Amino acid sequence: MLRRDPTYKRVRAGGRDITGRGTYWLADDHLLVVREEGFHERYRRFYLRDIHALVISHTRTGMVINIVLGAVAAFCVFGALTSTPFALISFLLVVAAIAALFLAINVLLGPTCECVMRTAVQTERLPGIGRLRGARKLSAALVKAAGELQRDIPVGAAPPPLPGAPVPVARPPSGFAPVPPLPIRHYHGRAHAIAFTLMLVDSALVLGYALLEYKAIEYLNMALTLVELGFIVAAIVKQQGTDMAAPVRRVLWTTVIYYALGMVAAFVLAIYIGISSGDEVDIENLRPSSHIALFTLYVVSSGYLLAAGLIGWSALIRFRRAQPGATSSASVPGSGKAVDSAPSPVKPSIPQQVPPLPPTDALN
Amino acid sequence: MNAQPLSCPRCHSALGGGLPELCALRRCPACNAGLEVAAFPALFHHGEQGRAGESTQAEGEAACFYHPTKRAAIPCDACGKFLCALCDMEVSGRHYCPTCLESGGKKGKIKTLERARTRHDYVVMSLVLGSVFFWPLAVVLCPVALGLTVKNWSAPPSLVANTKLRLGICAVLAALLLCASAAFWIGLARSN
Repeated sequence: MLRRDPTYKRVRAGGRDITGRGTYWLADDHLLVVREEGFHERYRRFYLRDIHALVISHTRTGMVINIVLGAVAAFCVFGALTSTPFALISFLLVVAAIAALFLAINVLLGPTCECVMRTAVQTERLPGIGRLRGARKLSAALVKAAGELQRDIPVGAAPPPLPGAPVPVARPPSGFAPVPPLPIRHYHGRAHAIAFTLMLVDSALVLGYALLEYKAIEYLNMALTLVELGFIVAAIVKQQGTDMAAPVRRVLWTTVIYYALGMVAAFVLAIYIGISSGDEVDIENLRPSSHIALFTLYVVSSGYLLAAGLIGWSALIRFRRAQPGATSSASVPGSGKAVDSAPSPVKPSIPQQVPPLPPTDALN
Repeated sequence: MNAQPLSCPRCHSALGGGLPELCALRRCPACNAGLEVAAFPALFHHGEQGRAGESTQAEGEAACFYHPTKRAAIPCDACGKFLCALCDMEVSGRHYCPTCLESGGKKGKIKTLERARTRHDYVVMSLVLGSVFFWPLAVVLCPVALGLTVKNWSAPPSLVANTKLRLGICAVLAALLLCASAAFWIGLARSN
């Protein structure tokens, strides 16, 4: 077994796709790709000195799956909120919960991609690498291992730029240039801000309904929750591969988990109240005052949404202030002091390892 | 230099530029798809020509088994035949002639040339699962699973999974299912 073989080190990049499973093992001089297809296990070795390039191409499959699952979940929740038969509501909520679970798993797995290995004589699509995270792990492992082995290979002159390709300013320096790390995009969107604002408004509505029990507030609350969930999903999708601060991400994910657990808790509670109260309570027209546990659930919900909204906004403001060029962190003219001295929640930018290119006039 | 330039996996348009330019590429210039390239110096390396076998110089000089006019450079590590530089196949530090390389790869003697193995544990597992879902057939499927377990116990195992452990678990399950199935059929026969 390769796991017990000290010559091989597993690269946790592969996974399962429609046709089978791929696992990646790095030795001193080669990369072993093990592909499980049906009742067979096929091996492919790529010698590190022969590897020319690893190309990762982003795909939109993950985003399409997210949209479809999100639409199914939202449609089922909306259907459950507007239906009256208890059996139908239960069925729709179960379907919504399953769709939400798969959506959460898909979002957790990250964006999708296609990975291609190029050698001198072949261009191979790598099996089992469907997610960007895994592809980047493999890329990092190869950059380290193959880069070390190919250090002594002299780099020839670069080919002339092709039409449509970005025109390089200067020729690359001869000798091995370390491959730069993969970039992290800067986040510019407003989805987080809208989601946190909606959480605060939703908190007030939930508390208002728990205390006043007006039908109008209930309907408004349902509609707002749907919109809020949509913005939370949009924010989670948009923050992937960006420099968005970890506390902001944590608040969003905690809220998703909270909603999933809250849905299950409400469902279980409704069944419990229905069984324990018998004919005393109309199960199809439950109100917060119907049962003390239900009232408590509403109050806890309101409290959570208030806390999550405030914490999220606070983390978002800190993230924005820490950005270079933010007005609050700029020096105040005449004072010589920086206005904001809050610690940056953003990861420091990774230094560019490629040596600076000589100025254009130096080449002429 | 490669005959073909590096290309985008989606639109297959060529990606130009040197090593830093390729590594700094974030989008395909043609289809605008997100792209991340880890390029290595070998991409720009002018490969050396393969060695040609040297011609024999004098009468009685050791010649290649496959090319009598070429000078022998090295013996085959498997069969001992003399080989010229052209016929010498080096795999993991050992030298083979083309015949030994082919037969060694097929028989799995040269480990680094092995390209596939059968997952006997998956086969047995499928039979056990089949006998769970189609339980009336368990009386047939379970003995087959047990027979395959015994037959393939010493077969080359999987490189990534503990084949023997899986085979053992499947054999125990198959035996239990066989007992349960046999008890069911015997009971049914007695009640009738």
